[in-house]
Formats: sequence, structure tokens, C-alpha cells
Amino acid sequence: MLRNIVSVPRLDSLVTAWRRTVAPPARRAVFAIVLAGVFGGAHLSRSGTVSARLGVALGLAILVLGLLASGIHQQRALRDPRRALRLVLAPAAPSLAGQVLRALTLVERAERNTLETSPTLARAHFERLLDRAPPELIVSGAKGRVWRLRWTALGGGGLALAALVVGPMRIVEGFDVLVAQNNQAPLALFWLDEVTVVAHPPSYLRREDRWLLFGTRAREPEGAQVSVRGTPRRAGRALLLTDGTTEVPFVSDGEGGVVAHFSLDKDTYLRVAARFGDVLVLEPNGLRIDAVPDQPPTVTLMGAPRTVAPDALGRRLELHFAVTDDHGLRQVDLVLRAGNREDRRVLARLDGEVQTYAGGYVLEAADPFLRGSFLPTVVTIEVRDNQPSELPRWGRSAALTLVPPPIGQPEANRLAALEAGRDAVVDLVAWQLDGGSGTAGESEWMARAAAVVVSGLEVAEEALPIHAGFATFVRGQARVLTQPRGGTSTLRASEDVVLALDAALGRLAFRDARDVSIRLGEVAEEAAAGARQARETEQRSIGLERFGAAFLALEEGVSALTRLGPLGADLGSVAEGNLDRIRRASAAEDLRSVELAARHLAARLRRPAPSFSAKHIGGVESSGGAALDVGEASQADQRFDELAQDLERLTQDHASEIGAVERALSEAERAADLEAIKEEARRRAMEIALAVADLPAVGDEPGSSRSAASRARQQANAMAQSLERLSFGDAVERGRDALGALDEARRKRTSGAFESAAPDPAVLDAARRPIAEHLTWAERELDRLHRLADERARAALTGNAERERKHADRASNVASRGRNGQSSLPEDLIGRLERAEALMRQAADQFSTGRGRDALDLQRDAQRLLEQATVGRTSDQGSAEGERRNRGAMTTRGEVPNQEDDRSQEFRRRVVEGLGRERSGRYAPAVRRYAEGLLR
Amino acid sequence: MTLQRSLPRSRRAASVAICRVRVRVGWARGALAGLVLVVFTLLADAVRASPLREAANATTELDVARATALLAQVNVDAAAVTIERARLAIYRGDCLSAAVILDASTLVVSPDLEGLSSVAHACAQATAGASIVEDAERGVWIRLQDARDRALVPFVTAVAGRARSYLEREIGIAMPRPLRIELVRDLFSLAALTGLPLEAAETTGTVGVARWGRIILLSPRATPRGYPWEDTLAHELVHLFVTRASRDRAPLWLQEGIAKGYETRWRSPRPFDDETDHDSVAAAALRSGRAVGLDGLGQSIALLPTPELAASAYSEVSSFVHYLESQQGTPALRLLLADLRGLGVPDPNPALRSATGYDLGAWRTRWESALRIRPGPPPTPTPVSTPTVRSLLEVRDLVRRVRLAELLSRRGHHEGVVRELGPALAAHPREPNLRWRAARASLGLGRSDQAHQLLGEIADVDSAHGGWFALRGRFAQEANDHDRRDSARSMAVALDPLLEDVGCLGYPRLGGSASSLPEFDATITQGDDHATSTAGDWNALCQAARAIRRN
Repeated sequence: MLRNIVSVPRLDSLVTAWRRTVAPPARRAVFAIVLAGVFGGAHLSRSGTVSARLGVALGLAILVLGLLASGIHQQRALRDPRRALRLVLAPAAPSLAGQVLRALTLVERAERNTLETSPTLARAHFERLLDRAPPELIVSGAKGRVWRLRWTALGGGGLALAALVVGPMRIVEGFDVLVAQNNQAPLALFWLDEVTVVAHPPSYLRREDRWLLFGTRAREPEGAQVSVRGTPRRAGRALLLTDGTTEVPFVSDGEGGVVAHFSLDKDTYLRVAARFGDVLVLEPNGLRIDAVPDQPPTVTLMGAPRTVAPDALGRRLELHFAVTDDHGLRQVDLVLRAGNREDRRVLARLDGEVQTYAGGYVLEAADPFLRGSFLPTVVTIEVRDNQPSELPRWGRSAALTLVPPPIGQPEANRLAALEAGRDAVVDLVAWQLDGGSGTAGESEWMARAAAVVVSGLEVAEEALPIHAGFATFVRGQARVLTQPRGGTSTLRASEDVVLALDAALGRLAFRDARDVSIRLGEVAEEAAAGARQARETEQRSIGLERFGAAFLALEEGVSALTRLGPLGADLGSVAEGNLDRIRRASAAEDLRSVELAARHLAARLRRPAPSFSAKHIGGVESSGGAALDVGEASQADQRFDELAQDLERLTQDHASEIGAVERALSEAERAADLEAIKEEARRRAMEIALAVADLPAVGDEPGSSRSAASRARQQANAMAQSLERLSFGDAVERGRDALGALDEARRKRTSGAFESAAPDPAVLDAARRPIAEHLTWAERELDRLHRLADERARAALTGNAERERKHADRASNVASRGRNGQSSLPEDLIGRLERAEALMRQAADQFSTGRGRDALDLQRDAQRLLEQATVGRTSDQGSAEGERRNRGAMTTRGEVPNQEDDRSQEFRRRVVEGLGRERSGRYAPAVRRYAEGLLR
Repeated sequence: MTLQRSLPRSRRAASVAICRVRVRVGWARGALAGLVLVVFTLLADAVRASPLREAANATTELDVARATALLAQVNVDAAAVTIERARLAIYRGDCLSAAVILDASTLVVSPDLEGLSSVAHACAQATAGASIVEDAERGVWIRLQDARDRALVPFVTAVAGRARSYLEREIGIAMPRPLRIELVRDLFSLAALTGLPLEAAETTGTVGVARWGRIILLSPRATPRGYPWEDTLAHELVHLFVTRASRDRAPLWLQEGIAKGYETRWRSPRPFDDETDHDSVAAAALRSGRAVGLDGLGQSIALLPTPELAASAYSEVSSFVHYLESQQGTPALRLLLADLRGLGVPDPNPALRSATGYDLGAWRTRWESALRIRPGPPPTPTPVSTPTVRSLLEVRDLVRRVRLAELLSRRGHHEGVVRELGPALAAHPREPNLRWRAARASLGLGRSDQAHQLLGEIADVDSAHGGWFALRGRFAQEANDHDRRDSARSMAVALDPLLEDVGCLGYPRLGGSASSLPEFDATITQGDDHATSTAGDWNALCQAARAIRRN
């Protein structure tokens, strides 16, 4: 507007002069202020919080905008004559400035014709006044502003400089943090110097540590500890190690550095970083590590997966397995699972370093788990490796699925096989009654029947093991058919055998029926539990499945039970009726009734008593059965058991007798005075040692001449030591072994084998002569000692002859009863008993003549025969596997010694006696050491 | 007359009176009559027994329909009501409901409640899913724990119906329909249903119990050689009658005395019926000082320590009740039961005094005096388990031969059986078991005449045997002697119905051969009571018998 009204060149020159004076210091001031603001903002941004970063960004924006606005405002002011005069002239000449402004007003009014004066005159007045203000005046008037601007620039510059001096990297970090996106700074910075990275594998791997480098890629086992160590480039930063999700802070390592440990549990990319509030500033380089997992062991079970049918199982199942692991094996288990039941058996405990293992296991068909299982049993080998985590890692083989035979079927098959034998004898009796008795072909008939009985026994044993006592009884009865007792008709003998077998089978069936019934009771309980689960829980289908499996097993088991004699038939019939109830309730989907009926059946089967029994007879409310009760038709098996018991007692008594004789002889030997020959024995021992010194100390290939010679040397040295100890029995035995070994060495040498390393024959001969000589002397001394001992023990053993004869009589009695009585024994057992009896009688004769040691040898032989003849009773257990099954059960029939009985002295005495007694054989030294250890 | 009958009658009388008053007199008299009616009604309600008590009595008297109706009126949720509902459920045979009722209640546990709960649960288990057969015509309800006993049902219902009719006539009270019978498979289940300790049942050989309003009968399938189930059923039925008549207040001597007296009266006499002279046995026991005494019976005669004491006790109670009946007549006995029911106290003396003029002590004195002056030689006590053989050696030989015969028979060696049993028969010719086995073997050899001869006649044997009578029935059938046939079959079924010889009318499979079923008559009269059993019934019985594995 001014430029439109008045001429402004004069004014422009004034403004220009003012600008020329003020502009440079103004620019410097603005720069300094901006610099100080930016540096200060950078420092503030390092706190990293969102609010701080936003505040700094806002402050800087306001500062820049303010400065910009101020500049624009000033430019505009200088373009307006009135504002320019006030800005430029007023500070230098305030009165002149007022005059000029008034003159300017006159010009404006004159231009608008509101003044009577002409515009030209007014403009002239204005210009004249302007002329009174030279540029120098303006420059001098701007000095104050210039000074202010200079001070401002100085202050801002000083602040910026100070911020830079305090920490130039802080400004960088601040900028980095300020412009971070997603809490991650765009500019990567190095934080650590002298960085070392070490990977520690899990201790169970027993591997060395490994050094790693940032910027590379590595493979480390899962669970390894990665330690990053370094020196911080700048102090005061919150440094950490991160894989992007997990952050591990660096801590001081106590040596001026920092360290962080990172646990490797998966593939990862590790980077060092510094945390500023929410923002992470990473290092440029990272470390990529592939975690190598510890693989579970690999288990191979031969033949698996496979389903083994009941018939295919046989008596036992051999399991062969092989196991491998990438690091090490700790444990191998055999696991049997059937339904909810599980049995885990440790097959091997390993040291955790073995990486391969192979083994086997024999699973008996009569195994308690299999016997007690009515569901298919899944057999696996499960192996744990050496990883010590909370959840052990197991490798599992493919499974062998054993389909069990129905409960009771083996027992029923066994009984059927035995009954076939009995029935053969029944047929024989029928033939005899029909006129066959006394005919020429009778013996052939009887032999055939006996053969059927024995073969029935073998077939029965295939079905289920039979206790030795029972088998012996059956074989004994078969013998009666081929060797009838004198004075008894063949018909009577056959009838006796029929009834004896029948009674024994009846008792066997009774025991089996009880056993099977109780096991089926457990199955019925399982069926009830399944029905309950289906009815009361949300696992209806699982419950129904449980029930279905148990019910099927029940049906099959009950079918077998009914074939187990009268009790089995009775219990089976009861169970069939109850199964029918369960079936009916199940068809009506009445699960409650199913459960109730199954529980009743379970309780009933667990109480395997006959349906009906009576001890009283009283009116029609109670019934005791008919007047004629057939009862027991034969007590042969009971007689056999009595005989077996007598035999057991005889064996025990005879063993005690031998013990007494041994003690008596031992005491007599200890009483012998050996001082007189002590020196001579020592001399001979030394000669023996010298004689074998040239024999090779170390052997060669087994079976070689050199090996035999080496053995001869060892035996000869042992002989020498025994002689020094005055242990003549031992010395004699060793001496004989040494001579035998020398002979063998000579023989092997001449046979040509290993000839190059064979000892010289002269050396062998040189060793043999003294050994033979001293052996003869030792034998003579031993014999003398025995005679002395016999002489001393004669008084102590005077009663033994009579007692041994009594034992012989008892053996004779048992053998006689076994041959001629109801309790027949097999021929081989009778033979043993008769031989034992003969030996006992010889032993008694030796006792009578004072030859206690010879008698003792005979006694021992007789004892061995007695023990071989002891087979147990028919009533011991229904089957051998039953014994095994019950073996785990704790017996409560053991004799508990009284507290006041101090048996330690007795034990000590026995050990001392044992040590004092001369022992021989390969294990004698070991036995002696063991006994001495016991005493210590 | 009980209150429950008098009350409605009184109300009816009062209503009739009001009508008459309204007709003949004015409103004032009507109002007076109304007042009288109100007072009368209030008085009647005051003396009326509570519905709960009435329901309990109805249950005890086996009137379950009435008990159900009465309990439906009781809305109180009290312990006594819960117990009564559970008891009623057990009487109805609904043990599961009883168990649920007791389980759901929050009653304070007491021995009685525990006992009831135990029975309810055990019974629910033993009967769950069991088959029920109801003969509406005869009014008999049978629950079969073993459904294979279905073949016995026609025979059981016939006997139950016949015995009940007889007892209703004799004792003079009607038994509510249906009569509930539980046929259980074994003593284990019998104990479960009755609450009888299993050990006691096994010791005494209990085959029947009347309890909880039902007869619990052991299936003949359970015993090795059957048992006289018909008389047992009748015996237990008598107990139910006495229980109903006396509201279960009859003392044990009265229960057993009446039951023993009536257990065989419902049918015609049969061979080998117990002909013990109870008076003589009781007199002998009294003289020897070995009498058990009426108050020494304990909880049950069957639980007495020895068979001899049990036999003596049965004779004593039979003799005493018979004496009472002979002195006072059968009506007095009925009156005694009614008095016991009405008095509702455990002491029988007030009822005895009321019905007969004397108390128990006086009657015992009179009975003992009568026994003491009884003429005649001292009788031999009833043989409880008299062995047929005399010496141990003979027994051993007999046992040997019987077992050998069994084994030979099973293998089809009938000639051997005959030869084996020959000496035994010569030594024990009166043993029906031996005769039956020998005759059976002869039949197996096709020697019918020899079999007939070996079997002999009733006079040739000294005890009853189901198989023996079955073969006798067969021979009678072949001789067209229908009377003898029917009586023999009736006897056989009463003894051992599930023996193959019995069920198959004397035509067993011999030697394991799979012979077809015999030709049954279209209708066969069963025994002397002319109750008919169809050919289908016999056919089913034969098949059931053949399905049993007997040793």
C-alpha cells in the first residue's frame, strides 16, 4: 500500500540497511537454537518411552515452526511502510520516526482527498522528513537487536555444544530411538567389543564346549547353554541377548566384561541389543543356531508288529530286541499292557553312554500278568535315553499283541488230557470185567492203557505245567498197570488205578475250578465297572467297550470253567445263569441291572463254594442230600502225599545226620598235631616252587601246550601254598591237577599243535618229578591224618551206624510202599530209593568199622539220591506255574525267632567250623574269602 | 374286628341317620343330628390308627396292594415312611427300588436299617435282569434267577396253587394274589435275598425260606441229587399263612409246629413219607432229659447245633401243636392266630389264655403230662441220616463200586456196570440208588426184563430215589398201568425233577448216545391230584435235565 501511495526508494534503502545489519546474527541465532533443540531432544528420546519420544518430536516441530513464523512475520513487517518505520527507524530516532509517521498519514489522507493539502505537498513533506534519517542512523539504531541475536546464538550454540560434548553417541542413539518403528531402531549399533560365544552342550551328552562366531551359522544340541561374553563399548546401556522373543540381560562377569547365558531349545537367531525403554537397538550381526533335538531311542522288537494267537504262544515267547539312541541309553523296560492294567519290568539299567543295546527276554505263557489278563496283552519294549528332563523320553517298539486263551482253558485242556488217560484205564476195566481178565492178551491191554496214561500226562503238561508231585503220582499209577502187585488180581489193580487217578483228578479239578473261578470273579468285577462307567460317566462308549471285552472273556472263561470237574460244572452253571441275566439286561439297555448282576456274579465267583452244602439235616427246609453219598472212592493220592512227606522228612533227617558226621570228623581233624611235619611241609613246598619256576608263567592260545604248562605251574604253586598251610587235602588235589596239566602239556606238544611256543620237554620232566614225589608224600600224610581223625572220631560216631541203619530202613519202607502200596511210585524213583538204602547200609557198616570218612562219602551219595527222589506232593499246587504265580506272595508261615535267641553265635560257630574244614575245588578260595568277609 | 373295618361302617350309619332326621323332623333336629355327626367323626378319627401303621400291618400281612394305597396317602417325608416304603418294595420283590429309596434317604443309620439296606442291595444284585413268569390264572408269580429253570415253572405253580387252596380252606384265611416265589440258583443267592447269614445257610443246608412276603426256594438244580422241593414249598407257604394270620406274631414253636403239620397234608400220602411218631420222639426226649423245649429253639430249628437236636425239636413242636389242636380243635388254633394278630405283643400267653383258657406254661404242663402217661415202648428217634450200610469196609466197597459204575457208565460200558454193581446189590439189596444204576445199565444193554427185575418194587427198597421212581414210571407206562405210572412220575418229580431219567420220563440217554427225546403223551396227569402237565412241559423239563452236567 505504501508503495502505491508514496514513493518508497528512500524507505527501501533504510530497510535494506537495517536488513544488512540484522540478518546475519539472526541466522546464526536460529541455527544455534535449532541445534540445541535437536540435541536436547535426542537426549530426551533415549528414555525410549512413547511419551518421551512423542514429546521430543512435538517440541522440535514447534521450535522449527516458531522460527519460521517469526521470519515470515518480520518479512511482512518490513514490506509495510508504517511497520517498517516502526521497526527500523523508531529504535534509532523515535521523534523523527513519529514525525515521519505523521507525514505518512498526511500523504495517505491527501491521496484519499480528505485533506485540503495536495498529495504532492504531503509527499514532499514526507520525503523531506525521511531524508533526515540517513542509513547510518538506522544501522546504529539496530545495534541493540544485533547484540541480542548474537547472545541468543551464543547461548544456543553453547547448549548444542554441551549436548554434543556430553555424549555424541547418545545423540545418535537418541535419534535412533526417536525414529524407531515397531519398537526397533532402524540403525543397528555395535554394543560389545571382544565378543566371545561359547556353546555348552547338555552335561548328559558329555561333549566339549564349542566356540561360535557372530555372523555365522551353527548347529548345537537342544538344551545347550550359549554364553555370550564381551566388553561394553559404552557404559550405562541396558544390554541384552535376544532371539526376538526371549531376552537375557547381560550381567557383569566380574572381570570388567558382561556375560549372558541363553538356553537353546529351538532354532534361533541370537543378537546382542541395548534396550532404551520400549525400543531395542540391535547389533548389526547375529548368530544363527540350529537346535539339534535329542531323538528318542529307536527300538526294534523282532517280529513286531504281530498278533500272537493263543495257540501260537506255546509255553513261552522269546522276545529279541535291539535299541539305538543318538546320545545314550539309560533304561530298557518290558511293558505289558492289557486294558487299564500295565506291568513295567526293567530289563536293563544302563550308564547313559551306551548308544546301542540288544537283548532278549523269555515271556512265559504262565506269566502272572498273562494269566491274570483276559484282554489282549500288548507287549512292547520301551527305552529311555539319558536326557535328564522332567519328562523322560521313551522310545517304544512296535507291539506284539498276545491274544490270551480264555481263562481256564489251559486248565480244562490239561484236565481233559489227564481224563483221557483215566478213561483208557476205565475201558481196560470194562474189558477185564467182560472176560478179558486173566487172558493171554491182558498184559498187552494193560501196557497199552499205561502208555495212554503216560501220554495223557505229556499232553496235559503241554497244556499247562504239572507239579512234579502230581506227575510222579500219575506215572506211579501207570507203573502199577505194567507191574501189578503180587497177590492182587489184575482187575483189582486196574480198578485201583482208575479210582486213584479219578480221585487225584477230582482234587486237581477242584483246585483249578476254585482258582479259575476267583480269576473270573475279577473279570466280572471289570464288567460291572465298565457298565458303571458307561452309566454314570460321560465315557459311555469306553465303558461299554470295557464291559463288552470283559463279558466276552467271561463267556469264554465260564465255558472252560464248566469243564473243570463237579465244582467247575456247578460254578460254571451258576455263572451261566448269571451271564444270562446280564445278557438280558444288556439287551434291554438297562445298564444298572447289568452292573448289579455283574457284581453279584463277581461276588459269587470270588467265593468258589458249591451251590449247595449241608452239615445238618433237619426237616424239609434243609436238605442234606440222599442217604448214600459216594464220597471218596480212593485215597491213593493222599497215601502218596503221606509217602512223599515221609520221604521229605527222611531226606531232611539224613541231611542233618550228615552234618553231624561232618562236624565230628572236622573236630577230630583239627585236634591232630601237625607241628612235627610243619618244617618238612615247608621244605617240600619250596622245592615244588623251585621245580616249576622254569615253566611258562603266561599261557598261550587256549588248548596249547604252553597254556597247559602255565596252568601246571599255577596249580603246583597252589599246591605249595597248601602244603605250607598244612592243608593236605587241598594240596593233594592241586598236585593231581598240576600233574594232569603237565601230562597234557607234553601230549599237546607231541601232537604238533602250537609247536613253536611249546615248552621244552626237559623242563616239563624236571617239574613233574618233584611234584609227583611230594604229591605221594602229601597223599600219605593225608591218609594218615584221616586215619587219625577216624580214630579220634570213632567214639563220637559210635551211634551213627545204628542211626544210619534206621534211615536205611525208612528208605526201604518208602520204596516198598512205593512199589507195593496204593501210593505207587515210578520205577526210576524206586530205583533211586533202593540204591540210597543200599548206600546207607554200606555207610552204616563203615561206621561200625570206624571208617567215618568213607561212611560220610557213602552218606553223601545216598543223600543225593534221596534228594533226587523227593518230588513233592500231589496237593502242593495244582500246577507248577501256580507255584511261580504265588512265589511273589509273602508267606506268613515262617518261623520268627525269639528276641532272646542270639543266633549270631551259632552262625559264627558254623562259619568257623566251615573255615576250619578242609575244602577243595575251584571255588574253595573264593568260598573261604567270602566266609572270612562275613565274619569281619 | 379291626378298626379299619369299623370306621367306614360307622360313617355310613351316620349318613343314613341324617337322611332320616331330615325327612321326619324339622331343621332344628337336623342341626342337632349334624352336630352329632361331627362329634362322631372326630371321635372316629381320634381312635383310628395312622395310615403308616396300617400300611406296615398290611405289608406284614402280605396285602401289598392295600399297603401301597395307604402309603400313597402319606405325604410326610419321615424316616418311618421311608423305611416302610422300602420294606413294601422288598415285599413286592422290587429290591432295586427299595435300595434306591434307602440310598436316597438321609436316615440315621441303625442296625435295623442297615439290615434292611443290606438285604435290599444284595437282593437287587441277585435279581437284576432275572426272568419273571406270572401265572395269572393260578395267581402265582415266580422270579427265576436262572432262566433255565423255566422248565420247572409249570410244576412249581401247580404245587403252589394246590397247596395254597388247601391251606386257605384249612387255616381259614385268603392269601392275596399273586403268591410270590423266588427260585434261586444257590445258597449264596438265597442268603442274599433273605438276609440269612451265608455260613448258616451252608451249615444247615437251607433250601427254602419264607421271608419278606415271599417264598425263596432253592432250585433243585443247585443240589447234587435234588431234594423234596414240593414239601419244602408247602412248608414255606404255611409259614406265610401263619405270618399273615398272626401278623407275624406267632412264636417259633407255633410257626414250625403248624408248618410241620401241614407240609404234607396238602397232598395224598406217598411212599416213604416221614411217618415219625412225633409224640413218641418228644416223649422219649422228655424222659431222657434231652428235650430241646419250646423256648429253646433259638432263631431257627435249622440252626440248632446237631441234627439230633433238630429232629427232636421238630418232633416236640409238632407234638405240642398237635396236642393243642386235639384238645381245643382247629377253630381254637385259628382263634389263637387271630388273637395274636390283634394283640400285637410278642408274648403269646394273653392270646393263649384268651383262645384256650390256659397260658403256655399250663399247656406245656398238660402236654408233658400227656406224653409221660403215653403207653408203649420208647420209640427210636427219627433217623436223620441213617446210613444204608453198616460197616466201614462195606461202605468203602460200596463207594468203590458205585464210582466205578459211574465211570463205566459214562464210557458206555453197561455190561461192566452190571457186573460191578452185582456184588454191591447182593450186599445192599434195599438201596434204590444201586437198583436204579443197575436197571439203567441193563436198559443200556437192551435187557428190559432184567432191568425191571433189578429195579424191583417199592417193597424192595428202603428210601425214595428220583431215578428209581422215574424208571418205575417208565415200566408202568410200558405195562399200561397209568395209576402206577402217574404216581411214580409224581414222586420222581417231587424228588429230583432235573435228573434226566425223571425229566425224560424214564428214558435217559444211555452211554452218551444222542438219543432223541421220548414220545410224550399229549397230556399227562401228574400224580394223584390230577393237575395236568402238558407234553410241552415235560419236553421242556427233559431238555433242561439233559442240559445239566451232573457228575
